[in-house]
Amino acid sequence: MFGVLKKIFAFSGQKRGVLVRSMVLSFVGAVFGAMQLLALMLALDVIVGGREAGAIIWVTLGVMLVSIAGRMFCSYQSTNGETEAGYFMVAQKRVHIGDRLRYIPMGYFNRNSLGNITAVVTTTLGDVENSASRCLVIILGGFLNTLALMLMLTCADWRMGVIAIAGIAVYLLVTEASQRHAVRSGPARQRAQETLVEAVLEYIQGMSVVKAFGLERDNHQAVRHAIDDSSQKALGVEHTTVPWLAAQQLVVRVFSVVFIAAALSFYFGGSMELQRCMLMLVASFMVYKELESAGNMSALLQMLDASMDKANEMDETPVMDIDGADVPAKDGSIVFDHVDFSYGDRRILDGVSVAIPAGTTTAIVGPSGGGKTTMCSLIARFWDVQGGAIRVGRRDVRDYKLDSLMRNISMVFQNVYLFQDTIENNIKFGRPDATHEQVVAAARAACCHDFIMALPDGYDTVVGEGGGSLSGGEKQRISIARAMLKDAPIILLDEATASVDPENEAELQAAIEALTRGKTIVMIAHRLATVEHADRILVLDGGHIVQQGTHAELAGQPGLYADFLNARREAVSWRLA
Amino acid sequence: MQKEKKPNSLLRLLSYAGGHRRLTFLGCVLSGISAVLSIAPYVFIWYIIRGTLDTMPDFTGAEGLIRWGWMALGFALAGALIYFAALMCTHLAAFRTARNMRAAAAEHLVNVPLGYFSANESGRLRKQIDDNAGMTETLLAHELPDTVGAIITPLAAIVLLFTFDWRMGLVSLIPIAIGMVLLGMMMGGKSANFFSKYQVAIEDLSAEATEYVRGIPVVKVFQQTVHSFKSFYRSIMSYSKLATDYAMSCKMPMISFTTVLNSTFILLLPLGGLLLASAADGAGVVADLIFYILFTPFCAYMTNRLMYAGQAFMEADEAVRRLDQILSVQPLPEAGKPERICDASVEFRGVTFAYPGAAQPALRDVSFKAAQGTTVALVGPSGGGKSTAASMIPRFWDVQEGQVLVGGADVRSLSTDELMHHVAFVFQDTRLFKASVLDNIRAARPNATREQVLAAAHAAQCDDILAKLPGGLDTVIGAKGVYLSGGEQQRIALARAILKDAPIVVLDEATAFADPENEILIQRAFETLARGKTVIMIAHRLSTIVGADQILVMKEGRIAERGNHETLAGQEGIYARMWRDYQTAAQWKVGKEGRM
Repeated sequence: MFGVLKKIFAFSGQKRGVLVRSMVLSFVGAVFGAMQLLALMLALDVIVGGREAGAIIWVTLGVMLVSIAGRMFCSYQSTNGETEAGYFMVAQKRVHIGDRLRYIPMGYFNRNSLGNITAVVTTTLGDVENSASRCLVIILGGFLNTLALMLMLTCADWRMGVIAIAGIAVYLLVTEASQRHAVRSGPARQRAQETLVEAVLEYIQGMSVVKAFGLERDNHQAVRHAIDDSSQKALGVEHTTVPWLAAQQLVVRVFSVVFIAAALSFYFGGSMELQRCMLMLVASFMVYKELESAGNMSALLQMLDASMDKANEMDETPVMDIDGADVPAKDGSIVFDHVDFSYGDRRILDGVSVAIPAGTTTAIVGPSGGGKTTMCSLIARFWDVQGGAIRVGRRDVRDYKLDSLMRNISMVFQNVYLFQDTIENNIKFGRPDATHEQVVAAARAACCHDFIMALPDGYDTVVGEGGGSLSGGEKQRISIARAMLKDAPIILLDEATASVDPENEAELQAAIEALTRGKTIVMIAHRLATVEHADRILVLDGGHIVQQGTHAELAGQPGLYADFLNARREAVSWRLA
Repeated sequence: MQKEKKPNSLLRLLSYAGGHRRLTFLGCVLSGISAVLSIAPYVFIWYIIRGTLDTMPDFTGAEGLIRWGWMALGFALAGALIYFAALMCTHLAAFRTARNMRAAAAEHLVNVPLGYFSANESGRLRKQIDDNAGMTETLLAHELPDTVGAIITPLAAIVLLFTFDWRMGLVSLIPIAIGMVLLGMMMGGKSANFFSKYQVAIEDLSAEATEYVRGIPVVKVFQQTVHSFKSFYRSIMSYSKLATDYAMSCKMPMISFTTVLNSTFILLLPLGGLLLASAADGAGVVADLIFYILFTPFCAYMTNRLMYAGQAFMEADEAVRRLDQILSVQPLPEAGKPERICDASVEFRGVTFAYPGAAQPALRDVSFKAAQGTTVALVGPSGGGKSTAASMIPRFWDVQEGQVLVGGADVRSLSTDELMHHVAFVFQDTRLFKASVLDNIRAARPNATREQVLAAAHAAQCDDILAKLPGGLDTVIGAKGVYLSGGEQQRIALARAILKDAPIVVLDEATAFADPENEILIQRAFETLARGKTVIMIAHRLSTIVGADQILVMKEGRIAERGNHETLAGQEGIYARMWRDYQTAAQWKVGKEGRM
């Protein structure tokens, strides 16, 4: 229980001060609350003890008023602070995670982790913000109230204080044991929840294929299974928790009765006055009440604990931008110096060395899985090499800050991704301060101005998630305009991108040509024409550069490149029989 | 109006519970019994106090007091145990209900036109299904039985309050009444309204987060930060502000509520003093007073539960409403009396179709017929309607005018099974499932033997893929270390289509370009797939379709030209121009100044 409170404090970051202040206020409020007992004690002295009423009535009334007013003021102030801190700290955490994602190697992102990260940023952190302040108010507040009461009781009669404290101790032990139990079963529930998120996402995203193949039943079964599983796991956890909750309640009720019995027996034994005994009877119901409502929250507490752990896990992912400096590149050259790189157990690049001078065009060809995409990704430092070094502009990519490195690089991806935003903003993505004129100029150069103007809202047309409402070729040209507006000296281009929409081939070619003029270009090449005119061709197979040279040099020798040429010729002349 | 809605959403919820509805009722009844039992100890305490005051200072009658004590303990424990039994019941029912809600939504989505998925981000839909169903769990598991307890207790309490001393009873009711008024204020129109806003904000956040995370490579390369990635940052902040504002606006009534409920002393003590001064039975008044001092906070505590219940009802109401939004999307209507397909022809008759919300139709009065065993190629500029036309055949969308006929029957009059059985589709966005290669290929024909699957894989040129994979055909796609390139995935998808062996094939040649080093292999697989079939093909490389029986040139949603290659190439039209462009296109190169 206290572990969680500590975590909340660690989580609160900038708002820690506010939280501490809230806690102090909360305790002061609890003391005010406990003053009710004092008032009651005074009143009982008069009513039962037969003391002279007179001024005491007014004192009692005064104490009660102060108690109520003080408590109200304090809890208003402290819940305000707790609420503010709760929501603020989570917003900060969201921003923090979003920022951190940029520095995590791309290898971390697969379909699995995408669902997971999204779930953390939305659902998990949502749980934290909704329950953190409630936990603080009810659980911590409940404890402080109990503590204040306890002090009051001990002052009135130390023996009763000891009994009350013993009850609390037993209660806490049971709570602690149940927490430990919950910690063991919690992860299973979390995992089931994650599987569910992922399964539902996959289900929705794969719907078109599912329909085309009539796979509704199978696919629905998969998602149904995930739903059942998460329900089953959640229920399992709940069922093992309920007996613990019952045990907590038993402790509370048994001790309440013990407390009453003790007060009565002290009174019968003559060691306690009647009015004190009556006071204790009243107190017996108050002492554990708050504790009980705090205990009812323990399920919430477990969830909060697990959620905070999950959010904190994001901080344990590897990041890459530790020691970089904000330095400019000296030129547009790229060097691979004995680069080794593995993805999991699979060796992708094995001792690759090559120097790419500034302003030249290099075409990479080779079978799929040969390491072409990896080479490009390493230049942009989507991953870090395991051996050797990559130098961009005569500096090791690891010596740059991520932003300084990226300033030099534009990339046109194989999977074009457009954001759900206006076309203008998508183009401006790499240079948010660009004027509308600059955007139009880039769009013209990338041959997309005409089709953009044909859209109902022109540049203000909002495209869907992933650019859904545009054709493949249109998306690619927008992504080229985006890269063009960025105007970086090095361009990494996956030509597959350029060939999906061949009916607009001439336009795309013009767009790419405009983009690449005067730049250092590394392209994953598929077209004969591109390869023929590159300054250098690298043939990559099995993680090694097996051939390199110009088209004229390579075409003449037997090898992968000659095979590639033949396959290309065959593909282009293919026709449906 | 609020009163009207509550039972509605509850009934709606319970309609998902199915057979578990009875468990929910049982849980509620048990919770009510527990509430009554929990009141009993207070009565026994009254007896104890009364007895103590009466017998003092002679304690010979103390045995009776001890018996009351045991009774108090017994009832308290019984109350607690029954309460937990109630919770067990309601939990079981709650989780099952949430499960049924999720399943119902997921099932419904299958029948929704695909356009729905392009209009709604996957992240948002996911959240709408998962989280909203989850939100109802608390209501059914905790708040509903607690509400029953919270309603029963004041009823029983009113009886008790007036049994002992009606004057004190009346005074005790004052804070509870004030508390209820405050509660009503808190749950008034403003906050109900807030819940919709809150849900919109959190769904926005979810959609933005999904997009940000999925687009992270672009975010990285273009040096964006969370701060400059405006819409994500804005959605975080506006959500946070909305939530904080609401929480703050509730603060005052909530604190007043708690304070009022906890300050019965201030009313009871003076009244007790007054009564005592005028009463003959002093001990009775004192016992009553203490009883009320003890009992009123208990009533307050139960009322407090009502507050949480009110919030949970509001949340559940909203959750059910949101889930209903998905369930109320019109599914594509299934044919009442399904017809049969009698041959392998495909015909469009005056088909007009506009995407929902689009100003211009994507297809205008498109008519053509592909006779059995012939090949129809769709060509033309992007956005011309080729893909839309092809997607009308599997009924991804329904026409607004005209008819699409497959095997002589309108696709709307065919059962989905019948249609899917006769048509195979190979589109650009292949998706393999997290299952073995075997199961992925076999998905289209679950009773195929392993040999048939292998033969299909061979025909789809997948031999090299199978050789590469550690477990061959049994390798699970998506497992650690198993990676397939786009082209490789396409070939597996083609094997699936080949195994299906449907007489009509709709395919998108762009598939072949997605991964050019696989292009020739994919083309060969296409060839196997198309042999002897009726083929509708979205063609990109004009050389491919030189031999097609019919070429349709689509532009702005219309068929602009039609004929075979010879006739079209001879006319001075779009196709002839495309053909010329196509022949010269191979000449381009990456621009180098001075080299052009």
